[in-house]
Amino acid sequence: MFRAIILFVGLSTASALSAESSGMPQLDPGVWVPQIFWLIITFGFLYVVISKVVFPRLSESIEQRNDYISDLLDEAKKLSEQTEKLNKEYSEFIANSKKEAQEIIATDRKKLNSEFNTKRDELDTKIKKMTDEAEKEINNFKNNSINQIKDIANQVTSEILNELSIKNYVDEKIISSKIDEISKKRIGDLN
Amino acid sequence: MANPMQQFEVKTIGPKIVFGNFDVSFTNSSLFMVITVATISILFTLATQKKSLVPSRIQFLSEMTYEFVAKMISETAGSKARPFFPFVLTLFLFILFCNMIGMIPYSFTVTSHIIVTFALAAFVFIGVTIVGFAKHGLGFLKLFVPSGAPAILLPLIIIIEIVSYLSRPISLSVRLFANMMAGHAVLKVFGGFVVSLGVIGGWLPLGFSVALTGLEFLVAFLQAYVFAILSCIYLNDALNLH
Repeated sequence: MFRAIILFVGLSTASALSAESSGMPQLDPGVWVPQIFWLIITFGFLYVVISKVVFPRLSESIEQRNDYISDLLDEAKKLSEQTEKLNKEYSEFIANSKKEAQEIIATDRKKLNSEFNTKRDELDTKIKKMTDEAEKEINNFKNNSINQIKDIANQVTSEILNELSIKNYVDEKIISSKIDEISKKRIGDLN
Repeated sequence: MANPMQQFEVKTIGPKIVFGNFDVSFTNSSLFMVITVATISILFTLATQKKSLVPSRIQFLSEMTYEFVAKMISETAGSKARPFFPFVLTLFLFILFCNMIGMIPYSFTVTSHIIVTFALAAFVFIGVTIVGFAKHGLGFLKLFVPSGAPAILLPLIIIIEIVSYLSRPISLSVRLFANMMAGHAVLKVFGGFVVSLGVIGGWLPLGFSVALTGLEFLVAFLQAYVFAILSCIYLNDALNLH
């Protein structure tokens, strides 16, 4: 629309401004034939140049570039696939190593545990044996010492009785039984 | 004041050449066609000479143009239009460079002549029609019968479709020609105002001139693009019907 107005304004100014205006030179049929003639020649020549030289060259160079780019992209894809594979292998390797390490740790711990247990059991039995022995000894000693104390008490009593010259008036059996009774009572207190 | 239409006059350069009954003398229009074609050929031949993997600026420019046109074709006409790529590229570059070289002061704008744009549009039109018939035979006529139209309206619709089909080369050529001619005429008028109004009053039209020059560069590109993309759309009709 805008163009049409400009065209109208242009044309009317043109005809108004030029008194000797012969109108539009474009409408003179005398200039048509040479223009068509030269248009065919020049346009034809240009078509030949473009279709035989420019077009093949351009499409070749663009295709070449696209090929090159797609080659590079393919290579990049391949490399990235390879990287992914390596990555996977690496993580698998790590996982396997971890598993192995855990297994080793577990077996070692078991072994150590069992070794420790046997050693402890051995020590326990040894200690028990030693304690038993020691207890026995203590018991022996205790019993022995009680008998000794009894004997000493009997002797001391009889000696005291002798000194007091009342031995004949006292039954020795009663005294020893009394001593036994008392000592038993003490031992019972001790135990 | 200079006649704004004077710039569109075609003058013979050199001797008068007569070919049969026709006068085919070399003119300023022919000269600029040759300049345009030479510029494109040299530029693109040099640009594509090295085919380096990492393109130089000029090579990148040519590849950008290639991809621009390739995208345009594939988006409008699909992959079947691939064989017509060189033609569309030629068409686009020829019109673009004619328009751009026409922006140089004192030069001649080839595309500001209706006969040139009409010849191009007619070539596209005839070519597309031939492609359509070669591809679909008489089935190409189905293009004028839209599917799903009510039977009573069909005769009317067919007439409208045929008229719109036949008016394609006219609209295509007039669009380009009128845009180029109008733009250049207006630039010339404003340029004339700058001179006639002098130092005191000439600044306003000068500003307009500068702004319009920028606009004209945009139009020069846009019209080349429009011409090429419409050709692709017509080609799509011929290749795929619709």
